[in-house]
Amino acid sequence: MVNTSLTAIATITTGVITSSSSIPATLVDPAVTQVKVMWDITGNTSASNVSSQVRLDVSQDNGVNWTTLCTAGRNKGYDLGGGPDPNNASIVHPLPGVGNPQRMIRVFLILSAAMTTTLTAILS
Amino acid sequence: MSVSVDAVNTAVIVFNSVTSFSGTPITVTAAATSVLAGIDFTDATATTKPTSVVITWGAQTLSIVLGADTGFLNGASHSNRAVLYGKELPTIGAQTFAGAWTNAYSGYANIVSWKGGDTTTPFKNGTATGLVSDTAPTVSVTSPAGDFAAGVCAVDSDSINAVGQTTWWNNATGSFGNSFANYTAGAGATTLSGTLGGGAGWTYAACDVQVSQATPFVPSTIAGYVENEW
Repeated sequence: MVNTSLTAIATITTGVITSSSSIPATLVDPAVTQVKVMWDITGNTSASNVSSQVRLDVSQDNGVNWTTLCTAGRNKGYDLGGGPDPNNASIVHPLPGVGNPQRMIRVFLILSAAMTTTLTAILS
Repeated sequence: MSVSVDAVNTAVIVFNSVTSFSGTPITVTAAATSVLAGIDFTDATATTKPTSVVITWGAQTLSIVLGADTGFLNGASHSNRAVLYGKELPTIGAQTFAGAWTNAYSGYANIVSWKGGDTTTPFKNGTATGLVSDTAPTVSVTSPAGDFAAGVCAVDSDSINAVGQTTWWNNATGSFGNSFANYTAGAGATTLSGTLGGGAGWTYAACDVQVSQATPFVPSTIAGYVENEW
């Protein structure tokens, strides 16, 4: 299934993730120009102190070969702050290969300990 | 000889509440003489500021361009810092562009490579302006003809109505402040500017990208001596 723009393409079931989880390889609409990877940090306070790291890989050949496109993370828990979206950490990165119908992405979330979170990738 | 852009991506990396990011926004060619990274840190005023910031291109660590760092300044809604990092003779290819620091923070990051630039002093005349609370962010960079001027503007919370000169990026999708960056060919006292929808505050960091200062080869003669083939 090809994912269209402005759609959350995959969300890991909200719950306790023990160490790592991923959004499986997913075909991307050729018109998509960027991807946002977002993960819920409300379950990771300073008291829980879990390090979290996301990695997004991209393939231009239907998943045969993969390269890491971007990463983001934090090495400990959060003192949740203000702002319009205090409950999520995220990274937005341009997605190369616009026009390529064989483009795929996959996302990994690696945690130092179990925490409750939701991992989402949004294409636009 | 003059400076020109080697590789650029107008889609900026946007990060939110993290202590590290990495991406691969550009592919540096063999002609590149330097890379320049623009970072716009912006978050809630009360958020603990990032320290020990390290910006890298592949295995190379970039340095702050002297003078091109506004430091953290509080606008009407956010605490913002615009800063430029540079490195001569960058590694060729689609290297990883990365940043890491203490204390989770939000903002924007991008990198551009230049060609025709000096490889000893690629950036100079760094300048930082702000916090100014008007709708017309502007910064003047001493950038002679043949050079380029480049800058990044941290916009506290207002809409970005227009970006002057050539847009490096223009983005208002971050969770806190907005951001733009631009560059233009040097013309002496060179202006970089934009137009905002309000006066909540802006800060602007910029610098000159210096053309190669290498002395071209000039054949010399020795007075009274003529070299002959036989």
